[in-house]
Amino acid sequence: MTAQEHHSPQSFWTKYIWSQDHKVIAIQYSLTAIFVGLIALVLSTLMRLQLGFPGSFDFIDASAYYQYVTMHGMIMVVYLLTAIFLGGFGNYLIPLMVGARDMVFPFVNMLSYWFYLLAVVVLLASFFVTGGPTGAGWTLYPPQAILPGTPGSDGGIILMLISLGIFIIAATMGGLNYVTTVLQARTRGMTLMRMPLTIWGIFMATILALLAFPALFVSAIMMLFDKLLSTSFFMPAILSMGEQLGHEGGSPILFQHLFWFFGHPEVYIVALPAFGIVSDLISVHARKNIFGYRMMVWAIVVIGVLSFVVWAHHMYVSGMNPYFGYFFATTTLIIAVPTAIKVYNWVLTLWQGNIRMTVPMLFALGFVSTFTIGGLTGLFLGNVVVDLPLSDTYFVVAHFHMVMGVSPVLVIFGAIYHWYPKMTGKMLHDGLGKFHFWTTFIGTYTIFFPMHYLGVLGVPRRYYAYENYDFIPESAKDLNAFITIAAIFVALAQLVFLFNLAWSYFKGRAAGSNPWQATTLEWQTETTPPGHGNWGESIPECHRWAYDYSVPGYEQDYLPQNQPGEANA
Amino acid sequence: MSLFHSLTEKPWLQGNVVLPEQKSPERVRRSALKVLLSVISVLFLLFFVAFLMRSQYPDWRPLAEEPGQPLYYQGQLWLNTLYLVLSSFCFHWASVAVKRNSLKASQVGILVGGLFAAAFIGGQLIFWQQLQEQGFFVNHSPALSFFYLFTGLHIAHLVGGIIAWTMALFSLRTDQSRVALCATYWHYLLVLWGVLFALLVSKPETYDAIAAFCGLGQ
Amino acid sequence: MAFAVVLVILVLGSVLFHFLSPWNMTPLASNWGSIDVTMLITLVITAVVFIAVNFFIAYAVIKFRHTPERKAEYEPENKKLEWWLTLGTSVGIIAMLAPGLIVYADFVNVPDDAHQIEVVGQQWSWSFRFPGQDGQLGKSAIEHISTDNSFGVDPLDEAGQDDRLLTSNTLILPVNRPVKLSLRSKDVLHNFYVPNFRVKMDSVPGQVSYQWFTPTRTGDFEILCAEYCGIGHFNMRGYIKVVEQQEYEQWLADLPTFAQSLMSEASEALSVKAKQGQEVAQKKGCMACHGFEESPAGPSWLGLYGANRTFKDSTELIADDDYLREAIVEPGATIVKGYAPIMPKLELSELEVDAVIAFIKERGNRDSDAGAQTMQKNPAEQSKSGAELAQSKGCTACHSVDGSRLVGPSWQGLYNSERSLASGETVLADDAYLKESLFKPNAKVVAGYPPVMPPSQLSSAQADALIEYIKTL
Repeated sequence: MTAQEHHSPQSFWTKYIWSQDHKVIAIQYSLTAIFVGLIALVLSTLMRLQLGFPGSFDFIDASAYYQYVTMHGMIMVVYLLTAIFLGGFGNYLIPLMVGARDMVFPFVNMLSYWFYLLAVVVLLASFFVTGGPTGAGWTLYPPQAILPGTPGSDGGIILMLISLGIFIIAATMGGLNYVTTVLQARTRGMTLMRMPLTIWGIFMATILALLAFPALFVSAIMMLFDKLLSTSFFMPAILSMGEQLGHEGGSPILFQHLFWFFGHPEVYIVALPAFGIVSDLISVHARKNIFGYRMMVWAIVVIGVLSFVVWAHHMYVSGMNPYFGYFFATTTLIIAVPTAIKVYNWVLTLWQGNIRMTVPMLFALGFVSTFTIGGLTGLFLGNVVVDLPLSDTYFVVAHFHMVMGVSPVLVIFGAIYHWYPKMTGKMLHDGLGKFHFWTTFIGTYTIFFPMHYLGVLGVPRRYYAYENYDFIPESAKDLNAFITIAAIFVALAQLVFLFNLAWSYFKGRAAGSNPWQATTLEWQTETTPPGHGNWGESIPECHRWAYDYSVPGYEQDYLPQNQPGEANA
Repeated sequence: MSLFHSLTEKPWLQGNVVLPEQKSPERVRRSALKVLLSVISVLFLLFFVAFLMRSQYPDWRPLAEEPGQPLYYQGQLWLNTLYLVLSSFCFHWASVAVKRNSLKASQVGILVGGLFAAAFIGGQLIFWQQLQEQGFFVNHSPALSFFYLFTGLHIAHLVGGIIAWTMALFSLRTDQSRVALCATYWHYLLVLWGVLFALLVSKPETYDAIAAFCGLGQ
Repeated sequence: MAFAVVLVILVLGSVLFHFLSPWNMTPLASNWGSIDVTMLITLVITAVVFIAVNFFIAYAVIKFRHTPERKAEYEPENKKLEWWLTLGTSVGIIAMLAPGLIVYADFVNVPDDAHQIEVVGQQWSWSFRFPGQDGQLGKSAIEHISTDNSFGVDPLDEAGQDDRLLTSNTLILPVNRPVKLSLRSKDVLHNFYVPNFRVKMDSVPGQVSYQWFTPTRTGDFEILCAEYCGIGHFNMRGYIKVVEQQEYEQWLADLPTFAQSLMSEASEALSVKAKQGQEVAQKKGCMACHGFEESPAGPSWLGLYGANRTFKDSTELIADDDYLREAIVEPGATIVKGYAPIMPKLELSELEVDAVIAFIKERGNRDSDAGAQTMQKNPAEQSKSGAELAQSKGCTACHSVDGSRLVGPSWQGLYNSERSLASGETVLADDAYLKESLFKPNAKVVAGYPPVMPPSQLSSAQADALIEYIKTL
């Protein structure tokens, strides 16, 4: 595609609403995701209120509590994290970083956003149907998800499944674009191994999404059939509420296999873009090339492949054939090796660096710390026999919040602080950013670190109340109250971030085109923010890898990727 | 340049590696189609796995073993298969015609191919209706539920193909590249239908054998 | 600088927290000390890595903080270092995985001398079944479940007759004897978990899963449900009492067997399905010829189910579900000796046929048993006060007795109060209403509550005891 094909759209509608520009679509995706994310944040605060101060809030009854749990989980995992990493950052960064004018199919890209928005609308509509949204837990396990006895087992679950179906169509349309753009639309000289790790992470995550989401699609459709047409895919003979149902012979475990065949890669759909972005943030702000670039790329690929053969570690106590436990424990612990290598390489990049403690760097280093905890506690849960006492307790809750709640969210924040100057031309306020980092980092640590100990004690998850359980000491209730207070504190701190986003847009310091002195192509655009078609008259050529920082023999401590000349002068 | 080679190069040492200037739209679209077909394959593969796992439960009843089972009489299905084969053939013919720069022939091919595809969809719906009339509803047995599910999804993909077909038909004068893509998609759907058909009417022993081979047995 | 300090404080604080935390594993009460050991190994290895990584970051951000005059080192990779780190990590992983798999093998393979107990989960209570003298549990299926057969034991299976049943939620186990729990569910997923025993496993409808352990000390322990099972999940309680072998045997001998329970627990209330069957039978006129007394027009349904039938052509057959279905759907096909082929073909749906069969099964066999044998109620069960019933049948999962709001209405002050229903009507919560609510819970649901209560599996006497108890609140 040439520059002439990219006439700038004229009216407000074609420019901001029905836009086919990847940058506008990225911002649409991000704002929508942040909006639903805020809903999820409010839901989590309500949950914490019940857990910290049980019975103090009349409107949080058991039904409402389980609905909050479910919607919080589903929104965070799918509608926020997946959407913002792929639809938001993927959309914004892929064409800019590989030196393309746009995605290869701009129209399909636009459709992808509108399908995503539709999925969000259907999801939120379930709050307003009789019975409310589903309260089946985000894993939606049948039979319970579609039987009375679970909140929202009529309209709620149906809308949930339909919304997921629409989301998957949206993600597939987006994913086709991202993969094809990376494969076919890279600029001259941009070999695979010259791509920034951000692109590698997003690229691999997109492939995982394309291959894993069908499993969720399959299970959603089959569950809809079971619910609406009384088929027996997942439903065995059941006595529900004293009534013999017409189902026969189905297998709830089959659903779990399908769900986790999607669900585990999903973890890496969120984690791999985070890995990639963090690698770039650390490298830019430490003024040093990422340590062991090739190992980092291989690790991303290996993790992506392995993530498809570890799913049943979510099912050690599910009643599946117990002999599977040997296989899945082994694969799960093997996947820890490439993951550990990534952590080593991040911290080794700091060594002999020239580290600028900017706000994005703070978030990136905060991520390394929280991800290390989350990864290490994963070794408890992945080792099948250690999982026996810990699974379905608060240890699991603490683990996955550390590893795929807090950690990716820290990366999202870091990435926003890093790329906001490119998106808007303004710097985010530094002082507010630091305040935001410290409250979020220390706050989430105090929420989730002690929570592991509740799990070790044996406190089960998804309990509305813990009254009259003798093995839970009184002090655990104080701990829960403490965690709730910390959670409210962290939630409020996010308002500062939102304020910063809005305030800086109007009043922020002008950023210039390359405020961080980074090498990658998105910082080398003619205008900031980049105009329609990204590059003005001619597309940049790539002459070097993305990490020429502090190259010996050069005055400047970074060499942009489009700067001609030998790598080592 | 092999994938292995390109993934082991040391990017900080290389001189300038120059990629071709721009990929042609055809090549981009073909690449996207390959990705799309892999996604669809995974989707159906997962359904097959679910089908095989489900077939190992004791309440499983095959579909086409004896009279009185829903798929015992397959006349309509074979007729539909013929439509799809013809449709696929027409698309092939059209894409060959494009290569020979014969606009008229490709127009006819693609038009007739689309009509046969529509006939296939109609035939499938007629077969559904026949099943309903005999009382074989979707919750009659797990295998039949899968039959409705599979054929329904296959039709949905064919309908998606027809949207692409419409676009190809209308842009035929200016851009013939879409014809070949449509042909590939149609061949794929034909093969997919063949696999589905074979799977649905197989003997239980076949399922058992495949399931055992894949380690899915109970 | 600030970041390094905070990081160091966080690490030291975490270590301190670990040693000072009052929230530790519950005191071990089973043979699974080995699981605790594998957890300790994992903890030590991961703690070392956790401290090392964080201290390294803290040190690096201070030592290599930005100064304009310095330039960072240029080092794309260091093969040797990377391979050593990979190797070291692999060794750590193996050190955790190997002991883990060895212990797991113990968990998968149940010792031969383990005795078997069946645990049945349902929304939201537990019940238990013990094999009788034959050491074998009888077959069971959801379709056999009725008011009189809450476990769904196959009434025709010999092995099941002497199974001992426990419908209360306190399980008693002998100390120092391995036990294999076979887990089954009637409705949704549940998970049997006793923190002090360490192991847990889901119970899944449609299949049987298992876990095993050896209780190593006597005492009282709590059973939790650890797999989300709907709105009452958090209150699906149970208790385990570990006692000496002798005490266990005495207690076990007092439990009713399945055969006894069929006689003693016979209640007026039929299962919901059988009630439907009753309605169908009356509406379609079946009772005119059949009924439960001898009649010349058609065979009586009294004691019909499971009985031997002799046909016109002198063949014989047990009257099971299949036979009854055929007899209803194709009346002319099988004519019992001594009767005329006069029964009309009826238009019945499959569900209606099933309901009628359930009715024949439940009503017909109850009367014949009651007539044939004297009632022998289990004294333990009988003396159980309403309060205990409320606990053991899982009522208190959803109904509080102190006025606090749980899933269902509180029982405090319930009796003789005005209740406004979801339908807009108002009713007086008298004996009749309460009894109806026990057996047909979703017929008259109080406004503001979800219709999620399962019908109680109680005898009429038990229901009265429960209502007496509610009156006192």
